[in-house]
Amino acid sequence: MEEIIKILKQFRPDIDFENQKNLIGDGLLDSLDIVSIVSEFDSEFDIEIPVEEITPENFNSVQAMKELIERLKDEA
Amino acid sequence: MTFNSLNFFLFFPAAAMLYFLVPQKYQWVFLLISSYFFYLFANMKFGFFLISTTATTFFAAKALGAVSDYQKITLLQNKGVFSKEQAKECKAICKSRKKRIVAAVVILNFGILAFLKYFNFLSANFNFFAKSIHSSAGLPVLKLILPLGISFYTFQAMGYLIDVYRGKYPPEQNPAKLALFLSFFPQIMEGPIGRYDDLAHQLYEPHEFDYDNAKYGLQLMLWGYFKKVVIADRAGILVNTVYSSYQSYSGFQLAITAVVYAIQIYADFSGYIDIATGAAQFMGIRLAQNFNRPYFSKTVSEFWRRWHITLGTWFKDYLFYPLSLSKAGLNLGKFGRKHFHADFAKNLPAIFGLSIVWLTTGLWHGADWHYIVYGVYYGLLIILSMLCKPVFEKINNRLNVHPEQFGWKLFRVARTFFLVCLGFILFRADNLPTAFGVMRSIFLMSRPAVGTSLLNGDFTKTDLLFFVLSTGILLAVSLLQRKMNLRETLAQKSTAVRWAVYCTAALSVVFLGVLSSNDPTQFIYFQF
Repeated sequence: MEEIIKILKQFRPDIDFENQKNLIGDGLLDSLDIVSIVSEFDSEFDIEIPVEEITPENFNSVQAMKELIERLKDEA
Repeated sequence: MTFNSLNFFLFFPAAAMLYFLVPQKYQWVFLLISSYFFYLFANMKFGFFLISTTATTFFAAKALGAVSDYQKITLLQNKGVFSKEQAKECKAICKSRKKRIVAAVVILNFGILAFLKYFNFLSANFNFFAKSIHSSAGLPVLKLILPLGISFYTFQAMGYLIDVYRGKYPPEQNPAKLALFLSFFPQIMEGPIGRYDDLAHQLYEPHEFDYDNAKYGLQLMLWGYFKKVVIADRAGILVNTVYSSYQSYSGFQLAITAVVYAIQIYADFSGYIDIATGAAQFMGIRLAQNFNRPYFSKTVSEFWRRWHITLGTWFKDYLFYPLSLSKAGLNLGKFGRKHFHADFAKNLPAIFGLSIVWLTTGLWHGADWHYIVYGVYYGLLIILSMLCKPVFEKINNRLNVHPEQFGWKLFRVARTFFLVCLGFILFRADNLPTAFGVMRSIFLMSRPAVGTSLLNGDFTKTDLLFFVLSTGILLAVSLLQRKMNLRETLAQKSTAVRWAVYCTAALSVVFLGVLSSNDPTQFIYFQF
């Protein structure tokens, strides 16, 4: 969890990732942020996030991102 | 049939009334028949292209569904038998099959669109190049028809197919139902580009007549007509006159025309969308939002999230993400990390995606260099603003600029509007030299030897007065929309007030609108 927050803070230090639960829905993260974050997750966690997983539900909160990463790691 | 033609004024009331009179079980069938009637009314030949896109999309989606079912059954039957590697291999084989199916049909449909839309553009450029190197080689210029709305329904169809490929939802089993999803008459010509999971079920569900839906739908249609015939068509008189001989006008007059065109294209396109949305709402169907007061945007990126929203989200979901997160995009990011500054490198996958998206956006709008440059212009602006963001933030911190200050927000809105107006010069000009000529005159504030007044043509002082007044109403409505739902607020007013508003709007459309029953002015986005 902390590792994810650290990565997210690199791109958007202005966002309170610990408490925000609707990052996409509230427009806090846009598509450019998502691409930077996904590319960092790919190399940091050695996973491949397929395009069909780029949904608001998977990126609305740190918890959702953590669950996505864990699921993809299990499937690998 | 266009929304501002006499035929539509006969068609819509009849279609909307009959929709509620036919047995609810057959409402969707009636909607399909009336949609095809509406579409084929313009040209029967268009039907061939629409049906072929519908058929190929339907069968490809069915085939994708069959492969997915095969994968599920195989894995289920061999649960405990297959090793992890064997299960992975099964999934990989199925994915590869699905990829081939979707690629073939996407290439076929975009191929048809590209051939009809761009072949002659390609021919003209190839022939020009051949001539310049004294070669006798040449490509023919063909007499091609461009079916109305082809860019819209092709995008809608391919969005559906890609979603089925991604497993977002199962394929539609009834070809007639898919045909309705791709041809629903309010939206087939100019969008909004619908998503299957949002729109389709609404089209197939039965609907009972609902007074509120009918009332709000008609209000929205009336507002759309007001924007189109009172504002856009009147602005069009001035803009067409100026662009037909822009050298006769001063830089200041051309700058005013650029602003008038920005108002024209917004009123035209959002007016169409309001009519489409209102017509659908009358029948109880909600279309996707396509505009969200775009001229109040503080950045160009934000403008494109609020202008033609359904096209932007289509490009984001089906082009930008797949490109940026492709192996090529991610490898570019890795390469960047080794060779460039981290701030630049982290943006490389997005830059890769944005470059292709904006080139495609330019091409989507038309087969001409000025449309391509229009796309490239926005791509460059967005990439530059992304790269310069840290620098701008540092400058703002030094200057103690507070992002929430009204003056700063106003400046950003004005700056974005200025950049958008420049972009629309590229969009409106008939060709690239004209666009650059207009921009040069504006920036040099040039004055022609013999000046011409903007009020010297068909655009009279009375037109100017009505244009300013109606644009003022548009602006006031946009400002009020920030704080309230105007249609609901109006609904709470007394009958006298409500009907005074309705009658004033209807009468202004009839008497102040630039109307001609024989030759209605086309909506700008019809050509796409």
